[in-house]
Amino acid sequence: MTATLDGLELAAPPVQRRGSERPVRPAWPAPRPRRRSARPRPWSALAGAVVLAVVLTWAVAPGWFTSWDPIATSPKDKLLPPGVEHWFGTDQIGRDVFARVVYGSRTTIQATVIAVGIGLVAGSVLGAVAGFLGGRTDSVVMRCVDVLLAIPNLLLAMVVVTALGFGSLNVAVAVGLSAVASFARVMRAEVVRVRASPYVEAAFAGGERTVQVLLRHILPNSWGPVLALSALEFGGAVLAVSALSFLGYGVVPPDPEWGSLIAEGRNWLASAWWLTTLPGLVVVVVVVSANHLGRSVGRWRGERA
Amino acid sequence: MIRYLGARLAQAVGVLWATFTVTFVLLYVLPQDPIVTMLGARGDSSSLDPAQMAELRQVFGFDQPVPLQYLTRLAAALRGDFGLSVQTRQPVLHEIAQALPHTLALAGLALALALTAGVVIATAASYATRPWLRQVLFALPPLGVALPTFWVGLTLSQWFSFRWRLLPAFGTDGFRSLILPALTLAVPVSASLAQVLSQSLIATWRAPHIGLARSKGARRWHVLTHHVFRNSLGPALAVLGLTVGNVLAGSVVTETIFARPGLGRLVQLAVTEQDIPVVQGVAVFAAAVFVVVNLVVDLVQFVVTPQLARPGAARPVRP
Amino acid sequence: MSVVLEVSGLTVGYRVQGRWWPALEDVSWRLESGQTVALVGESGSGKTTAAHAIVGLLAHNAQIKAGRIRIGQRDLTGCSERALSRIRGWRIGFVPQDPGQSLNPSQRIGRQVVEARRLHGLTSRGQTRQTAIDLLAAVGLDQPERLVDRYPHQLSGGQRQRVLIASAVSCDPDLVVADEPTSALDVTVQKIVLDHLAERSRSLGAAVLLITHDLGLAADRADHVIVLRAGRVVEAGPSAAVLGSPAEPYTRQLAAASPSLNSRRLRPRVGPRADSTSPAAGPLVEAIGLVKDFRSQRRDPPLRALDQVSFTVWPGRTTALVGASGSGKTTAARAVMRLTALDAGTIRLRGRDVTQLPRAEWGQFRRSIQMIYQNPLSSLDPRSTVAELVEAPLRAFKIGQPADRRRRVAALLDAVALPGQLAGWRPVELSGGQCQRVAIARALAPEPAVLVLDEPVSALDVSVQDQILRLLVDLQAESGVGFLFISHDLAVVRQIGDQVWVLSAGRVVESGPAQTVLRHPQHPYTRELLDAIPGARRQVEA
Repeated sequence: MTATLDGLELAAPPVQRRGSERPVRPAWPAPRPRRRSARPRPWSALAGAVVLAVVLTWAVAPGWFTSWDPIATSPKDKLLPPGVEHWFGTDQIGRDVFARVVYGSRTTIQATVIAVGIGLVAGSVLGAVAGFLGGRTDSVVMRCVDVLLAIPNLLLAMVVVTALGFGSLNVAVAVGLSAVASFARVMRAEVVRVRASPYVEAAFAGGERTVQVLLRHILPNSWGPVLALSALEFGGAVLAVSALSFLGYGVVPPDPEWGSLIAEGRNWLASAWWLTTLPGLVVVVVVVSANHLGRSVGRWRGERA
Repeated sequence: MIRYLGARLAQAVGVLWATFTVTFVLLYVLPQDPIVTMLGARGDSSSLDPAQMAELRQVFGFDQPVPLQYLTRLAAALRGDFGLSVQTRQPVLHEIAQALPHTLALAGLALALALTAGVVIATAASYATRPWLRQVLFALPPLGVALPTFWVGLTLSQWFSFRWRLLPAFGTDGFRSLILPALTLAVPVSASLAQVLSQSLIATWRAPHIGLARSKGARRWHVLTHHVFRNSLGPALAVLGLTVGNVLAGSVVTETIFARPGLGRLVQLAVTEQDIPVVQGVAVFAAAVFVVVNLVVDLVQFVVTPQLARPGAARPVRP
Repeated sequence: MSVVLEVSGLTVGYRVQGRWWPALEDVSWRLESGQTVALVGESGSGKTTAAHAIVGLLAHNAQIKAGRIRIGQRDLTGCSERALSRIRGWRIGFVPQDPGQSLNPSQRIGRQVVEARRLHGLTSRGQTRQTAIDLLAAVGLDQPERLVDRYPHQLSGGQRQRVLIASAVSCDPDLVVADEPTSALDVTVQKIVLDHLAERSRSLGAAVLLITHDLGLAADRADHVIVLRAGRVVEAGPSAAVLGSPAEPYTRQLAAASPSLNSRRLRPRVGPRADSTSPAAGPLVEAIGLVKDFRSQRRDPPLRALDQVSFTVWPGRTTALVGASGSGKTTAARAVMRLTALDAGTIRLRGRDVTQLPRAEWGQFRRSIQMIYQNPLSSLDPRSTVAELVEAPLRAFKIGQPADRRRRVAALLDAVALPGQLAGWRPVELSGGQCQRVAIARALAPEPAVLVLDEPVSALDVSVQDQILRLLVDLQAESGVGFLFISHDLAVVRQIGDQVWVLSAGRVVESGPAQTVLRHPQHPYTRELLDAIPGARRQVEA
């Protein structure tokens, strides 16, 4: 998770140096097409958005996508390879794997959304407060964030799961808490950058009050990278949630969940490859889409700035 | 320089102390009754033997008030004593020391593979001129980051162990049994490293001083080796602490899949059995590794980036 | 004389999002050995593209569509990459634009200076150090034997640019291409650097292709001038002829707009302007004994940015604070705006001390003093439209009803000569000059008594610079607002200043009416600044 975050930070435009008295070179190159003139949007980012939309719909209304029951067993159909009838084949007690993936997205995506929500809200608030107030508040908050970063994310989530107990909601909370640090860092960096920009100073000089400046200028110009990070963290959270479920800290069987689905398939690695491979591919496609969308948003915002 | 190092050391100790405190609060204070948690009764104390619980309470010091518990445990932790494992009744440090060599072998090989692959892929991607080759190489790291470690491990063992019977799927039987776990662990680590490094390489290739070197008549390979590479290392080094952390975290899943003993397996079992002292011990240990790696990285940054060596310079960029 | 460089019919363009943007169209010129030719033009004229095409540094999306670039007998456009790399650095030396970023930050100076010679096999490993010392000494750098072991960040901007010149001429090239070699440097340093460039290339007999936006500089330094506009040659010829009596209207316009070629004070086109030197009303702003220290580290001794600086701003007049970078002029401006806390000193606005203002009077104070920034784009919130930007202070100071405000915004846009349909546009969609006009409209919206202008035109092209300066002069005549004008450029100050304060290292070294200070400078530092203005030579002749 954090590595992708760092990629994002590098892609962001460099911080404006303030107070530099050196004359600035003329900075208006000749062909500057108006941005409103139709700029082609990257199709791949759109594809990523479509994948995420489909998976979110799976989570909301799984019944639209499959007629099979994810729980009901059918011993005579056990371990059927993928085919027209069962797209992803069936498992050891005859349940349709595709149906279990679709219904499993409910648990996984729900936990992911909660996790990203916790990270986004808590992290943004902490980061915005630290960046805006600066000084001692800033150093205290950021030292706490440093501590959260010092424990590897998965390990931190495991500590939280130990404290809270097992279950998919607790897994979501654990993953969310371990994502707080990255959100806080990005939000703080952005708020500090925007706060130092001449247009914020100009707004103060133009008589606007602190709250107005914060709401009208600083926050609207800071949330872009955080938005991009949410998409990246969505991918990371899918991985973390399914890893914790894979380790057996998540749902209680027989409820399906992506990580536990793959864990169940472990025992048939030699004979039924589809039990692990196909659900895993779904996870990969979702995470790739979310990451790609996040990077595209980040790059797009970067170009605008 | 000395003053800077002193400050960094103090900061490192602070991070360790804070990690201890955070895990203490999470693990010992937050659960209503850690004994019940540890006995795996999920808050249902009726099924437990009261005498056994009282004995445990005394053994683990839960009959003391919380601040006193904290101070006792902190003092003990300073001596390296994180208490006894609930499952084995062995000191936590002993458990960690027993598991460590296995994980070190795995992590060492994985890190070596990851560094090699990450550096080669990132460098090749930024150096390639053919558009399709660039696209393929640049697509690799994001793909690697998106692969679930457990799935990579299962898929590898599915093909290499079960289909082709080339390598063992389980156990610690010599070097051959190390290959698949190390590969599994290396995939996400190398991908995240390659992502950071390739971004940094691209930025450096665009720097004005690279253009100047070209205008002096330098060929691209010369520019890469003499100007680009060293100036791009900073950001990649800065995330090395996180990378090592990733290796530790990844060992949890990897060791579980390949049924290898080690730190990851230790903490996985400890969480499953709610073995609080072990969980805390491993968490603090991981933080210590992170802190030490970052201290070393900071020193290396001084060598790689001469701008930092001047007095009063800004701290190196942190991840 | 032999022809060193012959460019014929050169056409270069960029491919941006599938569309073709021509940057140079059918451009031709030749350069003989020992000659200096200046390629002048505003941004977007294609002058940098021309330089990059010659040294082979075109961006990956650029393409030479037609034409030849001949160095001696060789046509570069048909050369392989391998053949080109043998010519680069050896036959052509390149001095880049930005000395701050053009040196490898992690390599010692010595290796970088000799790199070209090493690449072309002219210097062995063992001789590297001595050769580097000789090369650095040849561009007049002191203590070259110490400099070779330094890293770029340990050098000043002027030193770095001289290192770059030493590196460019290290292989004794036939041609030196210098792309805006001094535009990132202070004027006084500019002069030294250009002197060394001229001296070195003359002693080596190399031809110089000087790329610049500054006509005065071209007039000073070049034998021939080529004026580019939108990728085409407008006019070319001996510099005295082209800049002294331009044949083309565009060149004439450019020469007229160039501050370094123009010493006269701009007069408003409308409204009367009281020309008496003692205005009837009292002073607007009085700054008395300002002191400001900066501390980078707690234990380090503080850096004194302002040391007993005093100045006055009069209504309807322009007070100019002039100085090189680090002279404290921007700190002074920020202190007047109360954006920086002072360590000592008093600032009075209409006789009232504003350093100890009760909170209730802050609004009134903010309203009466407004600021214009150096970089207009970064001083405008990228998410707001032009109308929102100009309206913001009206709303913040609670001036008028929404309908009144809309009318006022329209009137303000009209006053700064922005077409009304731009009201819905966002800053990134505007040109630099338009952005600065928006900033001016916004600053004038609450009808301030004082306008603080921090290098308001130094980021703009000459012709735009001229338009903005004229606009400011007109607006001042209409509204009687007092200007506190911060600039490093005495040529600009000559055009707009009434009173001048010259700052050096945080102290006022000279002050007085602009006419007196600029015509008869007393302090050696002021004289040095004036001498360094490019175009000075030509003025003596004229």
